[in-house]
Amino acid sequence: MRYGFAVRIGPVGFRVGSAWPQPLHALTLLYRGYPSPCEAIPDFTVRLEPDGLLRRWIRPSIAIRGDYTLPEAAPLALRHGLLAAEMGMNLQMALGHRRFLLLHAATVEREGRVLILTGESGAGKSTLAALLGERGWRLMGDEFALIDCATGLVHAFPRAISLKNAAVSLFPAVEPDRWGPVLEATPKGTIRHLRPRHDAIARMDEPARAALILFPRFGFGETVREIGGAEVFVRLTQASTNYVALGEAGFTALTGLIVETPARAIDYPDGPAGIALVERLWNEVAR
Amino acid sequence: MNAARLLVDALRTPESVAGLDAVEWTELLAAARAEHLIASLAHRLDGQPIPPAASAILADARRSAEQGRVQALWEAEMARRALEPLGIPVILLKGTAFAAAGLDAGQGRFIGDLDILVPREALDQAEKALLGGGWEWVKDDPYDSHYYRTWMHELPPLIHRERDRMIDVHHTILPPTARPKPDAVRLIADSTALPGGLRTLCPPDMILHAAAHLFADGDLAGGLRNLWDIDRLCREFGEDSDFWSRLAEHARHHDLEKTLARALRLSRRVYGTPIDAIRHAGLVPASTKPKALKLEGKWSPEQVRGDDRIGLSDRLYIRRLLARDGWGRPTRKLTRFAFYVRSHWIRMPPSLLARHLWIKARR
Amino acid sequence: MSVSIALETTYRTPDSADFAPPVTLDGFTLVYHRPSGQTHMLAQPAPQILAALAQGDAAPIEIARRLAREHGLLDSEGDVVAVIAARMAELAELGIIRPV
Repeated sequence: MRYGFAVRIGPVGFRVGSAWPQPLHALTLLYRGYPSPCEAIPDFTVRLEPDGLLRRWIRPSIAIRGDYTLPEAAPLALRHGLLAAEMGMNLQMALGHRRFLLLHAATVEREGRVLILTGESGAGKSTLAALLGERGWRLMGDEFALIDCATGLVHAFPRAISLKNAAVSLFPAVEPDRWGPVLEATPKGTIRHLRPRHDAIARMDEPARAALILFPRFGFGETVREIGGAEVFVRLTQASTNYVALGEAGFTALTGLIVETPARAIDYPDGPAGIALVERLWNEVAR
Repeated sequence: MNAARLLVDALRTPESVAGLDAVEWTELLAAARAEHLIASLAHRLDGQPIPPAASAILADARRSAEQGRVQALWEAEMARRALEPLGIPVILLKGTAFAAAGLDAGQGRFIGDLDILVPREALDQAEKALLGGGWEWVKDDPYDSHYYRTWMHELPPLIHRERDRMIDVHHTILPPTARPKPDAVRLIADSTALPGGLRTLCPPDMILHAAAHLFADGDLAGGLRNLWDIDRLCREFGEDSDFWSRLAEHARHHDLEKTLARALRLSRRVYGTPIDAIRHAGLVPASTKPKALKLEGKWSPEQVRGDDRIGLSDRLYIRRLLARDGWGRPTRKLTRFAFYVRSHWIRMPPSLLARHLWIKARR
Repeated sequence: MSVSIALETTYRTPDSADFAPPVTLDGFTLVYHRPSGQTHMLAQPAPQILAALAQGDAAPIEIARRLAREHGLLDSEGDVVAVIAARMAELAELGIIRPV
């Protein structure tokens, strides 16, 4: 492919090929300072290809392809190339990653212990994790929690965080150069990427043990509910794209995680309330 | 070097990876993934000096394939339990058969749906038993259903309600509309029993099926993997000295001589399958110079049907098989297109194909 | 399967190597079934039925007797054997146990 870019995020190396330079310019800026894939051999390949013969030049349109592809996926406009690259990398992880147990979750760490925030997309976990990442927590990831099946430890995958543009106002102290470009009218609305803080990038290879699992729900009156382990198990298998593929190792890792780690469902009305609730439960309940 | 060639060399001669640099490793792995051969590659490269990053990727692939194998064999077992009361022979086909029989061809093989072969007269009973066992139709469309029952060699696809896995129930190994006409009754009679009650095709018929599948079942997408199956099967069964004459006899009986001959020639060229025994069995002409293909204007039906007198040369087949680049992309669009068109000619007579495509387009 | 057939069916003791060590969470027993690669979440009395079946091939009525010895009567209302037969039929449909 004409243009190429490679990056390592935590234990996963990617190469992204593109028929156009613009998506990779944006990607290079957003991921500056990140390491390269180990030994220059990436784990996954993403390809941003023209969707049709003429789409390289006329109303250019990106088909997201790679080692793993969803053939029916709608193409994206060239100006959304950064989003296409992100979706491509997510897709490789979701469909192809087998080394760690993957949970669709955000993770933040403090003092060697990890808070796992998991639940449906749009429930606010990325924003909450990003906020915590600016308040003394180390952001380990906003999309995927990686659980080592042998050790039970949580590994970081600190990619650039995808946030709704409306959430940008929640981060007034963040330096302007940590923000990616505004991407308007994408399939996910208007979004913007936030680079993790320097320490999150520098410490991406430091795993830590899970101490608390929260199922947060943004936009409701404050509530805390205990959840039984069986319900946690069901919800976490639903939040995992590779639990079944990992077989017994996945079973042992996930049940081990649940047995060892307290879990709560929380509702919260806004960012500050969410943070306060998290801090309180961290002190009261976390292992 | 073309990435598909890198892949073929690595499979054929594992020691050859010793000199690969990072770019070549990257391309090799991308091509292997795209051709569904990465776990087979992992098995072949066991013990070779491999950079740790590549080794980890290959180890992941092996574990994936192993878990896939467990699930595939379980699917076979559940089908066996559902069909057991009927007392009919149930013959596993393709990857599941290789895995169940513990063959080299099953090592690292990614297995898709479950394919089984049953006697034609038992199709209705088999259908009922599976529906009673928790399987249901994938498509409810009466036209598609009619298409399958009339023109194809299988029931419309079934999927298990709870496990979400598909089963294809065949009554012969090629569509009735294809030109070669294998003898399903003889295939079933010659089948081999596995411990536990399921069966596989006998070794010569396994190779014949793989060869028929390679050419008749599509536009050669997945060809490198199908050809690898054939290479592995030939090497494993070919150690037995009178295997090749039996293979030739079966090929004659099932009207698959040309298909087999081409498959073996390609396997020899691509994977270096040992030729001498094949030649002794009279399956490959003494001269192996590929025939030149004259392309004048449009394809004629004889050409696209692969009639050997004026058919596609081995070289074109190999060109199609190796049409994969280091980014994992399919290449060689015109060659691919030619094979795609050809595959539809093989599956259906042209007038019926037109009707089928018309009805599909109207939806 | 009709009720009377289910009551009569004798099931085989499953091979203990078929299961990873089970994990109990919150009243449910999580079982990883190795031959299928499937994970099952079993509610009572299924785990107890499996434990009773581990002692030897048995039909539902014998399982009921074993459970009564181990745990006392599970449920004094309704037909205990019919309940056990129904659960065992479900376990068989999942492929976890098999008739002899």
